[in-house]
Order: sequence, then C-alpha cells, then structure tokens
Amino acid sequence: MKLDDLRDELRACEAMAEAKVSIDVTKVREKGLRATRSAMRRLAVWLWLELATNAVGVLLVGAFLGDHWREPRFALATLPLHVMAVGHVVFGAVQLTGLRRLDYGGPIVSIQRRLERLRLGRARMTAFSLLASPLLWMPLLVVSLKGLFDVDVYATFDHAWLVANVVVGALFVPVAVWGARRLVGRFDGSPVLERLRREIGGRNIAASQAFLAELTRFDGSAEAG
Amino acid sequence: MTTSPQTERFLALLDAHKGILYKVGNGYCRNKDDRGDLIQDIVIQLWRSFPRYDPAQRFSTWMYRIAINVAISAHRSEGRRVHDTVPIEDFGIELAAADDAMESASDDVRRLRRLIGDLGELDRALIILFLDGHTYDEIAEILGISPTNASTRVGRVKDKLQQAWAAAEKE
Repeated sequence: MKLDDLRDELRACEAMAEAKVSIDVTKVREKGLRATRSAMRRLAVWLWLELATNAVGVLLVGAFLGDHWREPRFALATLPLHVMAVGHVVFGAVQLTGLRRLDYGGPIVSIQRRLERLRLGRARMTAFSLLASPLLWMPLLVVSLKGLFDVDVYATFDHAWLVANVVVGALFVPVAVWGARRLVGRFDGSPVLERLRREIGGRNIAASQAFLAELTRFDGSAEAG
Repeated sequence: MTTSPQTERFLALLDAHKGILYKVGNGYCRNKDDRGDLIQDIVIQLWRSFPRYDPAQRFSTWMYRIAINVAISAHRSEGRRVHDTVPIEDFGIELAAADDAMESASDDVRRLRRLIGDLGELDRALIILFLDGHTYDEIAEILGISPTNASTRVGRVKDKLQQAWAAAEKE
C-alpha cells in the first residue's frame, strides 16, 4: 500500500461525499437546538438531583448522630454512614465542578486526560460504594429502625444474628471481587449485571488507568524516545 | 424558536464545516445509528461551547477539537451513555446522499477506512487529521502536543497501517 497515494484518493472521495451532507438549518434551529437544550437540562437536573439526595442523606444521618452521640452503640453505627454520605456529597460536588469547568474546545490530549481522571474517580467511588454496601447494611438497619420506628436493634435481635450479619458482609467483599474477576463473559446478555461485574472487579478502574498511561505515552514518549 | 444573531452565526459556521461532522462520525463509528447519535452529541457540544469560541482561532481547529473530544469520550463511555437522541434526519442532518457517494470509493480506500477504524482512539484522531491534509503544526495544535511529536506519531501510525495492510493481504 502507498498511503500517500491513497491519501489523495481518500480525500477526493471524502470531499465528494462531504459536499453531499445536507444540513436543514431551519430544522436544526427549530428542533435540534431545542432538543439540545432539553437534553442538557435533563443531564444537569440529574446530576444536581443526585447531589441534593446525598445532601439530604447527610442532613438526616447528621441529625440522628446529633441526637445519639452520647450513646456509643448508635453513634458507632452512624459514623460510617455519615462519613460515606459526606464523602458522596464532596465527591459529587467535585465531579460537577470538574465537568462544568471542562472546555471541550481545548487541546484533545489535555481534555481527555481531565475527562479520564473524572472517569477514574467515578469508577473508584462506584467500586468502593458497591463493596462497602454489604458492610454498611447492619449500621443502616440499626440507624433506620431506630430513627424511623424507635426500634433498638441491639435489644430486639439476637446478638449472634447481628454478628453473623457483619461477618457475612465482610466475607461477601472478597467473594464478590473474586467472582467478578472470574465470571468474564457470563453476563453478556445483561448490560446491568455486566456493568456491575466490571465495576466490582475493578475493570473500569483498570481501563481508565490504562488510557491515562496511553495519554502520557502519546504526549511525551515520542520526543523522549 | 431561537433566532438570535449568535444562533444564526453558529448555524452558518456549522453548515460551512459540516464535512468535519461526517469525517469524525465515520472515523469513530462503523454503525450508522451510532454515527447519528455521535454527530448529534457533537452538535450539542459545539452549541454548548460556542459562547466560549474565540473568533481569533480558526473555526475548523476549534470544531475538530470538540468533535474529536466528544467522539473519544463517547467511545470510552459506551455502555454508560444515555441514548436520548432522535434519528439524525429528524435532527436536520441528511447523510444518505453522502453515504451513496462514498459507496463509489475503490476497494483500497474502503480497506484503508476499515483499518483506520481498528486503530486506537488517539491514533485514529492523528490519522484522520493527517489524511485530511493538515500540517504537523496544525495536528499538534488540535491535539495539544509538539509538532515533532505529531510528526513522529504520524509516522508510527502509517507504519502500523502498512503492517495491517500487508497482514490483510496475506489472509
């Protein structure tokens, strides 16, 4: 193949095709840009809604902690939930700010690096949240039953059952990671399960790290080499 | 209905540079439905970023940056994206005649386009710009790397394509 010869042929062919792309300016103005604005609004509303929900969680858990901070059995159960909720709010605000500041008209390598760092942050947060949830199930039960129905879980349930729940939750984490890494291709028919498998198994984290490394090589290795 | 001077200016520039939409859309998508979604995403981002466009900069450079940034992001987020786009014709962009024109391309050109589609996201951006006739300085400006780096990288991608071409011929 002579790429330079083919380049001229390809350019001629593409020029002919591109001249036939037609834009109905009236339609784009009346439908396209209007749809654009509503799509953007939906995305912004979704991100803000997520942030607001997490902020409400911080307030509710914080209020419970304020009411029960003198009772160690409730305070200790509330603390990890509160840390998690505050972490989600801070993380959501950082992501939202990062996305709002992003100028897609900037140089490709630098914009892709910033986008991939945001993506890596999301992948890490999602994996952490998914893996932490079995451990947080028991504190959530303690806090929600007390907060909503004034039921003291420690007094109502057998202690052995409570301990067993915590142990099962702790054991679930390595089993889930092991399973997610082993069951490649088993969930191809279900996008939701496959996504969950990738998140728990750290595949999305690894993919982001690999792309960041590729960007670094692309950015500088040619000159260094 | 939006009829501000800014909207009209945006639409005129979009129409004048519509080829970039087609080129980047084809460069990053094999499936026509995906391409329609991508082109709409690009137009959405162009419109969203237009208030920040500096007229001192060439519009094509700015448009290429946005189009390729959106294309790479869409490619990397595949599976996590919300597809709330409409058919591309309903959006006001008609590609069927252009596709018919591309059908007349020689087998060699079709094979080259297929091989380009197998490249990684960044290499694909490089070669799309190179094949479109951009200088190394222009490629470097769009990508945000040095001209020397751009030249070295284009050379490497050309080698990759030559090897892939030779391998495909042996099969």
